[in-house]
Amino acid sequence: MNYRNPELIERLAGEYVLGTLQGGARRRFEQLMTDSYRVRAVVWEWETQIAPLAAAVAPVTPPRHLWDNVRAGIRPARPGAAERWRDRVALWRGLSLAAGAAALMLAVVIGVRAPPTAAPEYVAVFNDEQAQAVWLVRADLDTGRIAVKAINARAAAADQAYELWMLPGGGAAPRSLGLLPAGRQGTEQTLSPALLALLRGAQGLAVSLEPAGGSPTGLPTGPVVFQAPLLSL
Amino acid sequence: MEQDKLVGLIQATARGDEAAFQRLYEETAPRLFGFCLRLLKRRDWAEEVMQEFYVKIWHRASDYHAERGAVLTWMYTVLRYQALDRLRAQKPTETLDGNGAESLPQDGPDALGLVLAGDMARHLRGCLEQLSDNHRTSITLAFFEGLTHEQLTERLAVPLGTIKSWIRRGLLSLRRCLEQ
Repeated sequence: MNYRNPELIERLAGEYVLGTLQGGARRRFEQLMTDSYRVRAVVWEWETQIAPLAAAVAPVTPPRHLWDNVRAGIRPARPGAAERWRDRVALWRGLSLAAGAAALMLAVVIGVRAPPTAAPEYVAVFNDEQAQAVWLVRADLDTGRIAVKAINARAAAADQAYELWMLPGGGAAPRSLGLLPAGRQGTEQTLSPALLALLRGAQGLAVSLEPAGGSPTGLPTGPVVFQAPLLSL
Repeated sequence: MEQDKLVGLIQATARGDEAAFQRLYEETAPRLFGFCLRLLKRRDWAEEVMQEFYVKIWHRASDYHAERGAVLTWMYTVLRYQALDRLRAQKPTETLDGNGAESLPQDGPDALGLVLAGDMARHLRGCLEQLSDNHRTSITLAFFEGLTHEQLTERLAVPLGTIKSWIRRGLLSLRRCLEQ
């Protein structure tokens, strides 16, 4: 199946969103979504166009206990999680400024969110030469969910794109984690179990400059512009 | 509730604001629960999926971004995937057709018990109406009942290849119309 065919991607995305894509075809398409920001964007477009159908169904007030169960389900509360994260980044920035200002810096911080039952998480912050955060990467090691947020990140040139790579342990080939957003946008994806296993043992993350749409080969084809090892705090 | 207010509530939820999350729940739960019930038929399943869904929204509120559409659109989407996963995980004997079903719609595009008016985007409604009956029926059954290809062949009593073709062509026509 030729995944470079945009019409095929459109059709598969429509079926995926509708729910009629099943089994092996669905798993392969989900892997494609993981690998390609462009495919995810096609899926999102279908979602936004089809989901409004749901509004045709009449509302039904849920029973009171439903909210009680939701509230119980989100406990324990996570007060101060945001502040704790900022503390970690502030500490890391103090360490990173010594490492040279010419390139964008990347640090991956292993942190465990309180309470103890929370999932282990990687956080990576790309900073520019002025130590201003431009990209924030968060990965949940239990679920394989990765969220990338751009914080005033400059876009690449019109015919180029910044692509994010995971560097697995043992010198294995880099694996794409998709294109980096620009401006104030964000992306999210779920890694396959195989990729998640690699991430757990990864040496770090890197960013390369690729043609628009990302590397055509599945490996970096352009210069690796940012890279850093894993740090643990 | 306007989109701007919902965006504010989602962002506050992402910062861990429980009061905002509760307001978000109050604003969105009736519509989402109605839709969830429609898909799952069984109230116990619908309540379980709703609870899991809102807990997920609490933890993943920061996933929302503008490319996912309006806040409510995104929530319908996430809920729908979750409900479908639940439907597909059940053993065949437990699903649909008489086992605690709230109501079972008849076949045909007009008998699906839907109100094709009100909130639904005029453009989407117009595009759906332009589809052939077969295309519209198969797509709306897939969307509102969560039927798979195989289940559609049983419901509509046509071969699998026909169902796949109706879905494929229906989605194509829908897409072309929506792009205009």
